[in-house]
Amino acid sequence: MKFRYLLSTMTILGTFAALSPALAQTVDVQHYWTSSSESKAMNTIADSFKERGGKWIDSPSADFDAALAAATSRIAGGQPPSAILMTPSSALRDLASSGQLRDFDDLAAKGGWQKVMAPIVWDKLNVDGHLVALPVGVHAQNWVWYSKPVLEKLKISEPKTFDELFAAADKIKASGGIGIATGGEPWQQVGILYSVFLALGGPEYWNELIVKRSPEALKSPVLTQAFDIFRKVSTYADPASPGRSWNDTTNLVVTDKAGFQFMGDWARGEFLAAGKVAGKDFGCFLTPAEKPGYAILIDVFAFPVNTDDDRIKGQTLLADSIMEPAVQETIAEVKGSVPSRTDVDTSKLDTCAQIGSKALATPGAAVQAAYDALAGDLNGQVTDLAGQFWTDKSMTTQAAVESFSNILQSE
Amino acid sequence: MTVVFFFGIVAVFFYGSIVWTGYMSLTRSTLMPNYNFVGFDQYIKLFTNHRWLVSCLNMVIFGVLYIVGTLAFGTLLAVFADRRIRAESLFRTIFLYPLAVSLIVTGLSWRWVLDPVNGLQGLVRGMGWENFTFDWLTDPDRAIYTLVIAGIWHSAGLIMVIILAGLRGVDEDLWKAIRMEGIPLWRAYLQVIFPGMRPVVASCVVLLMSDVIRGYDLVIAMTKGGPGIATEMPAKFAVDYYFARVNLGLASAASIAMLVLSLLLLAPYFYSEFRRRT
Repeated sequence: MKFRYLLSTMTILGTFAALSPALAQTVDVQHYWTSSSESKAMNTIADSFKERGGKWIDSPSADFDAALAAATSRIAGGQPPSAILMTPSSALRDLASSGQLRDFDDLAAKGGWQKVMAPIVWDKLNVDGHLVALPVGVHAQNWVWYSKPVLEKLKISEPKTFDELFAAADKIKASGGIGIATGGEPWQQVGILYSVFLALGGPEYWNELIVKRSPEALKSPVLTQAFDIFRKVSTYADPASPGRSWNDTTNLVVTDKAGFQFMGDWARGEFLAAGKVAGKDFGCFLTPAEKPGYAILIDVFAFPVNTDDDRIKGQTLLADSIMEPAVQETIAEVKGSVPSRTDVDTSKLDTCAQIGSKALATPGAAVQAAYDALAGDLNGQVTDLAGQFWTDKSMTTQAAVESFSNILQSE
Repeated sequence: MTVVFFFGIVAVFFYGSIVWTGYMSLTRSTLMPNYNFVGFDQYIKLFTNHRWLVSCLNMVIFGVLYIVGTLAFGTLLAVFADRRIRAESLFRTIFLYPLAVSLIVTGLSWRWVLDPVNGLQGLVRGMGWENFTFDWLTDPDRAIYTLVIAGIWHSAGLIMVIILAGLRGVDEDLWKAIRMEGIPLWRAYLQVIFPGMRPVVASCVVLLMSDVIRGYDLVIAMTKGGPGIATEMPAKFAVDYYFARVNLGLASAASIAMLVLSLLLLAPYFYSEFRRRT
């Protein structure tokens, strides 16, 4: 009896499968862009893709980690998505070197893509000489955001050094506001630490320290100074800071309750969403440095190897949509990033985005952010250390520098 | 046939997964499985990792306080309920209700209550007691105790019901004897009733222990492991390293270490059970 049910069910399903029309150029996109500015950016890509005649299947996850976890499970289970939104991290390198990703060398050659990307972006997208990911936009970590009304009321001008920044924060604190708004999650805290490393040491030192992890760089006095400044920033934390998310923290600056915030330029999306205008309601600068660096985080799409012809064609079509200059421009406009193509018209972008594009185009200024540059789980371990140092005031700078060196030398 | 099929599934998906995880813990797998054997490197890395050690210590602190606290509180409630109070079923429902609330909701609610600015502290200060301070949630040395409070609130009702069922199972003749001898009530419970309920209490302990070892959702909702790494737990360590930090090898080592740890904790229980039976 049971077998007969099974058989009839299978027959019905089989008929459905046979009757459904041949689908043309499908993509199944695993992503995590769910906030309002993010979904606007994703829709830009989806619309452009659909206009070209493709069929879009949306597979969103709640956050970055969940999206990557879902994608890897699907790859391991033999049902890979057509495209994964991720960053060029060690996970991307792992996927590529185990042969799980489709390369786009032919399309890149045809479209002349290497010429229109900053070299550091191009390098991050290539693993073992093959282009395995396509960029959607370029974010950077080492920004400071401030509220113009708060600074104007106290007659403070935009700080040029850390000393000026702390003096300004003290003034704001004395007037009853929050000097520097800081969130309570370790990834936000480690972001501040990294920004201070880059500011004090400059891009060349950063490459020695984070990318090459050279023993000489670990002996530099910059580390001690950086941890001291990091601790100083932590003293401005308000009582509600522990556990606070980054966007709630940004909101304190948006609503003029706080003066400054150290945060990557995804914070700009929050200001824009609240209807604020760059240069008028809020200001921005890269962490004060003699030789400013620009620690970039690239949003990319990676394309797992698919065998179905319809899906392979869909991937090709999606690649074209992503690399379309008009799409890149719109994404930068709504999401707060900088276009990854250098030939995109940036004149329409606001003052903060202009600073960003200029930094990205400056030779030697752009560096890989630690999240992408550090191998394996080193970034995670540094994050734990930063969180611990931030909350445990009895931990000495010396001990922190020592743990930091041990972590970087452990791989 | 069905039985063989059932055990086959259990063997493959349960023990198979454990064996596979054990094997992964002996490799340097990152995002994708890598079957090259490297020995016990991951375990050495694990037990020199500061966060792992903090996590284990936290599990012990949380575990002891949570199990003892929940048992004590649940038993007390059960004893009160056992005195044939009026509207017993109403109170039983009220005290059992937290169990119906997911740990995520429990954690979020307690985070709001204990938030120093918007929660209890802010409320009391707003009523005029300016010096009132209760900021355990944001104090790295005390945050772990807030997890204990929320955990006890969540599980005490369940323990109450189990213990109450045990109390109701006590022979009426025993109570008659106690009354006849004129033994005070507290001594009757402590020295006569509870010693006879050892299996019930042991089941409670095992139930609570499994809560402690897989303690993940409460931490995520309440503290996210913070402030800093003050309330990290082993299960959160494993999940973070599996997914966010794409280190399959180290995460597997952490999972196996947790399995061994829980077997060690359960060993005394199994030992006493087996000894009594033979």
